[in-house]
Amino acid sequence: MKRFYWLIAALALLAVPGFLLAQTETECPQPFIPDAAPEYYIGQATVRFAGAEYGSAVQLYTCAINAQPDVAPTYASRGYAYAALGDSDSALSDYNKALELDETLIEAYINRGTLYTRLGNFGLALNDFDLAIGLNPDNPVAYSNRGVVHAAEGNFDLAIADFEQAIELDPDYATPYAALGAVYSALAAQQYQQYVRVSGSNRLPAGTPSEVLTAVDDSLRTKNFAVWLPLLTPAE
Amino acid sequence: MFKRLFLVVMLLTLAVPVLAQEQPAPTEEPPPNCPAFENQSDEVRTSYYMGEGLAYLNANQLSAAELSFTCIIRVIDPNYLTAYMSRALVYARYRNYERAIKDYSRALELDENLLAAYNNRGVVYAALQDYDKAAADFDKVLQLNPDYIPGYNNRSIIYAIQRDYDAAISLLQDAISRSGIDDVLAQYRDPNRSPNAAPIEFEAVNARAYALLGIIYSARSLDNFQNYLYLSGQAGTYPDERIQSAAGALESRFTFEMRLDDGTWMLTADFSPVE
Repeated sequence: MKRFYWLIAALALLAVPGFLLAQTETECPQPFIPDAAPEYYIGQATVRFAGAEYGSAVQLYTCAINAQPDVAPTYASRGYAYAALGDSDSALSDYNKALELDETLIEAYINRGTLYTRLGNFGLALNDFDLAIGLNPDNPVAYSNRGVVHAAEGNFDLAIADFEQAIELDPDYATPYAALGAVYSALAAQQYQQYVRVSGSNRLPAGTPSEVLTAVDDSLRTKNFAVWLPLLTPAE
Repeated sequence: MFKRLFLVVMLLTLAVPVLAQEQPAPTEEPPPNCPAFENQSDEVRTSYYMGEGLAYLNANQLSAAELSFTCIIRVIDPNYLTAYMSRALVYARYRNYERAIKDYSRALELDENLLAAYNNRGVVYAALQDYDKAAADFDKVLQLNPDYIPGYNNRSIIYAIQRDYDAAISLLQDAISRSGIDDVLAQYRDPNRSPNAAPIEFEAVNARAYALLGIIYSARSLDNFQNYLYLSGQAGTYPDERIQSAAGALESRFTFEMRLDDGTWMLTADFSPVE
């Protein structure tokens, strides 16, 4: 009986390489329309990506790349799908290939910069966002993303300048408003720490930062200015 | 007299602007925004939006699929037949039958011998209970391809709905002999057939003719039971309870699982674009 298990294990091992091979091969579905251009697969991939089927999107972008291997945006799109899958190496490799084919592809710089940011490579990320801004100084996403890198590095003044620039370029682009809020929260934290250091007291005069935030938010609506009063200082 | 004249004048005053006013032309929706591959060839853009639309259709995201196909029809190539056939399918799925008919009809303008468009438009007409138009479409299907078995299926259903049971039965029997499903049945039923014999390959859809025949014979049975019950009432006698019960059971069946007018017995045709 034991020998029988060994046999099954050996057969299973034999089957593994074939299985892996089947996994790495890309099977491209036959297009429904005759003489379909490779963009047919891109259309399908776009839908799969939007449905969070990133593996399937990668596969379909690969079909488009196999049919037409020199189109930069397809590599950039597949790179983005790889990034969504968490496969940073493949994503970087595709972004690099896209930029090798077209060094003016702003989307590839922005998404590679985003990936570098996630990986903590702030220098490379800044470089990519700078290049994107150099190619198109009116791209709000490039400014906003560069602002995030500045913020992550603690360079809040530079971050604020970038977020404000992004808002000026596109007032309907929501993310930089939240980013600015986050930066001002960081600056607030810095000031509270400074208060503690200078006063030598852990007791903040107007309450904890979150209490102050709530009270200020309320006062904006109710016009009740009481939150500010503990911050008055009498003459000696 | 003056009063009557005043009334006539008043009526004319009211009528003139209405007569003069032209019926407003039905305003067509503005074309959708279709930014993908905007500066590239029609072939590239059509391929992209077909790929996108079919993927949405497979994911049952019908409004998105409609938009993709509309991009082809309204923005890229108004003569691209496959987009009309695909969008008609989308409309049929979300039961916008008028639009589905419009798209199938447009497909038929582009290819007057497109069997799938006739068949599927017939199915939509049947869903709208426009049985004469459905019948005309299925007749055309059988004229285009007398061996297309789903056409017999669909046409016989319309005959049955219109209570022409003889025509329905005759058509289904024709379908049975044309498809050869009777031979398959005979071979399976052959008492000398070995239990180990290889399965006989056949299209499962061809067997539906027997199911429909069964339904139609049941409908005819119900008619006969009801005739008997009606005459018993006229004669002032109590009808036989067994027949009352059988008629009741059949009536219930025709309200639910055996009703032919709910579209579930209809067969749609697959459409394959050709080179």
